[in-house]
Amino acid sequence: MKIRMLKPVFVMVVILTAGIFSCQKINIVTTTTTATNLVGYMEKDPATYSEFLKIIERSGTSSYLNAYGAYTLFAPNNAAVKTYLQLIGKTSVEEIDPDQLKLLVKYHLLSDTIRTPQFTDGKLPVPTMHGEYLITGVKNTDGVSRYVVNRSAVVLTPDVRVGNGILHTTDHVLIPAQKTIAKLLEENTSYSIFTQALKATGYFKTLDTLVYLNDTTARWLTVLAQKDAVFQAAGIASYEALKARYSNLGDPMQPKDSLHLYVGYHILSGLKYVADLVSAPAHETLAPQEVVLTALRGDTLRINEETVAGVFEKGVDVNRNSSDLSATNGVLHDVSAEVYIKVRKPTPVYFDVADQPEIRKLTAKFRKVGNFVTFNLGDLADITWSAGTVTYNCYAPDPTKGAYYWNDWITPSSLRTRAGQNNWIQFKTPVVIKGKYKIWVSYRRDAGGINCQVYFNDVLMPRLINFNDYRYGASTITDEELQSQGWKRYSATAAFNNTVMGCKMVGTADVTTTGRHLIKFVPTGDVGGNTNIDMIHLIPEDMDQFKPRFASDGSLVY
Amino acid sequence: MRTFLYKSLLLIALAGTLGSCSKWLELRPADGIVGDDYWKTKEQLAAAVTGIYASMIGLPSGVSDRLQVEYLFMWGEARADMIMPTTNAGNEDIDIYNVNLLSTNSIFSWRSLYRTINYCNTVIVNAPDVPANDPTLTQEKLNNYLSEAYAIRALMYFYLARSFGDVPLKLTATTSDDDLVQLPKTPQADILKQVVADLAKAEPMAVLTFGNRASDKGKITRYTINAIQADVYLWMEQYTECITACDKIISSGKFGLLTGVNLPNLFSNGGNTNESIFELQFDAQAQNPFVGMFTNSRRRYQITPAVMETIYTVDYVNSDSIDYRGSLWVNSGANAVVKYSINATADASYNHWMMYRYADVLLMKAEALNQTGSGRQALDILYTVRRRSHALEQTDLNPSEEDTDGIADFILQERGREFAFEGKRWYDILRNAKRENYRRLSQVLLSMVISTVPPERQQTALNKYRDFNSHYFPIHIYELQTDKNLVQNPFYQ
Repeated sequence: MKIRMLKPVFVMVVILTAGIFSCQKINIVTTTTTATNLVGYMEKDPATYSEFLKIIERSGTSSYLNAYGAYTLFAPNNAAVKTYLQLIGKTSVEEIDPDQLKLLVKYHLLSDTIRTPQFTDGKLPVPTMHGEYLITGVKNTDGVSRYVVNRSAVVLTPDVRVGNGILHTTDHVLIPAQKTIAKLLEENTSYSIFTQALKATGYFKTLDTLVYLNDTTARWLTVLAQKDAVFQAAGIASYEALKARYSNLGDPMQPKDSLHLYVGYHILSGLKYVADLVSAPAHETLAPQEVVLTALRGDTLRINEETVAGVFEKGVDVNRNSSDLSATNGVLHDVSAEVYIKVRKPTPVYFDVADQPEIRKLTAKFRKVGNFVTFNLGDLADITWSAGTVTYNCYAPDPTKGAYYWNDWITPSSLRTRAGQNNWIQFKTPVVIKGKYKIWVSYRRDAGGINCQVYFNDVLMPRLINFNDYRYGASTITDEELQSQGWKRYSATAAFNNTVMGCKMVGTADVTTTGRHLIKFVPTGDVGGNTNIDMIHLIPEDMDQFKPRFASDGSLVY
Repeated sequence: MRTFLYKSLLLIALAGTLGSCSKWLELRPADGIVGDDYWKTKEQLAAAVTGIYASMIGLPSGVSDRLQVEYLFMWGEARADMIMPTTNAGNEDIDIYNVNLLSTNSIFSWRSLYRTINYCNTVIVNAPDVPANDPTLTQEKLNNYLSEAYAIRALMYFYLARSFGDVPLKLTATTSDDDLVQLPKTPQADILKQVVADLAKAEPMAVLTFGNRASDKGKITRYTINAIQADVYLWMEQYTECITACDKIISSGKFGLLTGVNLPNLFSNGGNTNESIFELQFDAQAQNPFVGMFTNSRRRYQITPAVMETIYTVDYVNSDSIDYRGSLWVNSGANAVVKYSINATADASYNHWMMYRYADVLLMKAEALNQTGSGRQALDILYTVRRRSHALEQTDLNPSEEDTDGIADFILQERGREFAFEGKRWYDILRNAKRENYRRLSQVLLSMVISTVPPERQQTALNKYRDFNSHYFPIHIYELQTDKNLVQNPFYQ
């Protein structure tokens, strides 16, 4: 019995021993990667990051930054933190309030992975967790170019990829802007006239706070400020002189006072660094329905440079070196000359849609009879459409049939509603001065483009245009009868009984801003065939709508 | 006794099997040639030299890569002011346009060029052994072959040095895994020294003509070597040597400028014109990638607005007054490069890639003459080239004879018009900008940057370009991972 019991026990012991030894051999990898997270990475290199780690530790964000996520962290090195401590008069990180440190860490942290290829001249695409935007750039010192953040912190090692994001090491602590735009202007004595004007018009208060829309969306502002020297160059020695020149009601606080408008015209809505200003051609100001136009000429940003009614007006340069100043509620730029609202009377625009810069360059074809050129989407900057091509045509006039202005016109692929076909075409007009305009569309009748809706800047015009319509022009109808129905004979070359060259008014558009606008044609019928568009007239509503008429040799007949 | 018999029989049988084994233990492949058996005859040598050219035109079997000309095009044009990516372009193209040169960008892979260099090295190392086995190979013929290998190796290193600055210098052949070496970088100046030495060695050994036009234009002749020399000396700012090299070609009387209706033949109708010195001979079997890159609906590149606005310009008054090159090489209505698409289709795209042509030699000479104080002669040459293409009055800068910088700018602009999309523009701009210790960085290079990069990145780009190290590409990450002796170029560390 004893032996019989012993035997299984012995066997079990042998098996267990064997099992234990064999277990030690198995080496199971339980992690999928050996990459560390932000904090883990910095802990490996205390010579660079130990001070910033202390900040992270004390602010209580350490475990957060070492957890799963997608962040971008700008980590100041030890020297940077020491400089920062000296700057604020502290000797160690422990002396600073943890809540304050938390704000500081938030200012170095973005909740997205941003690598240096996404850096531009302006702000980063996402704000910091502090709520403000960082601005980037490249600085060249002693022949070596490096990325800089907020103009001061040089990125020493960019784009380190760690488990939960991207780490950029910088040589300075990033310090959030402390002042509002109003404060920045007030303490800079060279802006004294401008600041006085801000105060007198009540805009100073606007620029002294950051307003949140619906409690979440920050209403950033951008100011184009003028130094006293700029005013003096324009013959304005003091605020009183400015008021004397511009204030028409004597009370600049009133929104309708010209000085109020003048100052409002210097404030743009939105956070717009120079890089943002060059990326769009027009920017809304706080002066109602007035826009500031921007353009990049070489490497200078120029404001309000435009050609109005054929006259070129030189713009005003922005001083890059004293611009892009970040404030808690926006950004401040410095302009080199006076920027003001130009008072202009509405002027008719006779827009020849076939006159496009790209076509003009084809000198052998442009306005040369007997030619056509076909363009693909993207070839023409100012004409867009949904599918197919656009053809420029130029053929000899025939008074009873085709009699186009300058003999040329635009034919898009069949304008029809069928899916996948050309469902719309849109033109960008030349500069139109703000005011009320009647819009006339001149065309030669053809099969396509049935009952098109016309949109002016996405506003639907009251009347449809049917590019298939041709019965209006029978010789029995007098000009007066025609005009009373919202039509006109616009071609000076076409014979009186020409029934195919038509010009129809589609409605009155309220052009609220001076600039270039969009006119779009959307067919509502599905019929294939050509649509021949010659001109679009925008004529101020109080002017003669029927003169001049347009001849095929390019002359105007009054 | 019986067991003994069996044992003996077994032994005999075993011995028999052993003997018969010797045949099938043979390790040499029955359907190929191994290294030991190669390099025996002059035909094999000729095939190896042809292989060098083949590696520049197509891809060896089993290799997946871009064609070499695609690299040469992108390296020479992508950073300059005449092409820009379309909406079909990939991130890699757009990154370069935005002046974000990343080491992960496969456009900066140099493998294609080193592959060709290895073919050259293989010929240079093995060819001298061939006469011992094949007495019919004359010394002269051997020298001809060697000159081709030396010249192409020099050309490849010249491209690498201009593109990457310091690069590894490999002068031995890699024929098996045992030959793999991990080389560090050699300074650009030493690479150029090697290029000069290789060309000097190749020049006297090269042929003046192969006896047929396709070979004279498609293979290395002594004139090709002179053209490369001129280019290298111009880059190294050794102007007298450059002029000497150009004069060798000019005084040969074998080359001229095409004019009028013949101008399109530079690239169409099979090329190989009187003007050409060296061009890569694409054909129906070995096609180039250009029609797809430039002209179909999926094209990656289009011309910049500057090409028609400032480079060729348009005479708005007289429509008959056109720069032939502007109308031939560009379809301005579609913003397309058509230089390589004349008479070509997507399925038959084999217009040749031009390495050097006579106009290039003339303008190189003009550039060198200008730098040595002979402005009048430089302008004379320049106007000859302009006249044959009917360059527009509007693009005539009219510099005075003494205005060295003015003439240099004029030549640079003319080179832009003349060699548009031939993979030379960036190197031309960099050469002019870096001359005399980057004396004219801002006039030549930065002014180009201002007009080309996207506006919201302009200042960033300008400051990057102020760092001279940024003028050279980063080394591709794959090379850094596989060769631990390589150090990334300074700007990209």
